[in-house]
Amino acid sequence: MTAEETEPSDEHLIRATLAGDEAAYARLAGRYHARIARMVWRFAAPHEVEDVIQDILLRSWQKLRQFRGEVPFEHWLSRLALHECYNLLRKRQRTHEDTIEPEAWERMRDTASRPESAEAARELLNLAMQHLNAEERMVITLLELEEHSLHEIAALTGWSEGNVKVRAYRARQKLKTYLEKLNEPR
Amino acid sequence: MNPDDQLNGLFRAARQEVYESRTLGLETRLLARMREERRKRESVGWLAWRVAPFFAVVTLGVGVWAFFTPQPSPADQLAAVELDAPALVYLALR
Repeated sequence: MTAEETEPSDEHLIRATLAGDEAAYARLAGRYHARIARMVWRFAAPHEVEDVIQDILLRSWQKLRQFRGEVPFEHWLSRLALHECYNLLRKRQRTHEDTIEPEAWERMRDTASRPESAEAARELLNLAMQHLNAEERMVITLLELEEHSLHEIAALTGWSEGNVKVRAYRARQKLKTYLEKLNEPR
Repeated sequence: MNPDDQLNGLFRAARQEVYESRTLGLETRLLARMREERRKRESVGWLAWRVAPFFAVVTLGVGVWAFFTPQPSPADQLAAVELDAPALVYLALR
């Protein structure tokens, strides 16, 4: 039995999908679901993560004919997922309303000085990141939370490395300003 | 505390959290949505195919009607201009 028979390659599954085999695509999507989920989870609200992942996988199926095989499928899918996340951030930016309660403010201040849990840290970062625009938020998330290099971010977003660096710097400055404001006595 | 250190501490803490993805039933849910999408796409195509003959007949009818409608004679056009009646000019020249 060959490896192809046990575990078909991405190319094989893509060819089968394009020939009308929907189950082949579901199998292919299953392979990269976890990776996409990790990325989406950093940008989407917890209740919308699974829906966004489904939307991305569906969009990728609809656009599969555009996949030329010049880059690995995983990379192509990641770029598409990132683009969807970017659209999500931009949409959210338009409807954003800063509503922080005084008691939440106190809690956030404690977290900022000594994050007790990863969840609390993420909550505070999410709040602080609301002050960033979609591009800055995307860059700082990929750089600091997903630990991608500048080069990788440039390849994923299609922006130049210099551009990524500038956005990361601006994002950090804004986040620091927010933390300083949080540390001020109220 | 220095905001730089504070920010790095927050990033470090947030990195520890990992997402537990729900892969159970993923393929089934995805397949269901793909089929729904395909049905939607097909139903639009089906509707377009069904109404196409109707619009073809209407277009043909308008063409035939335009071909057989008598054109105003030059005398009609001249009379309309001489009477200085814009409505008549318009009707005669139409």
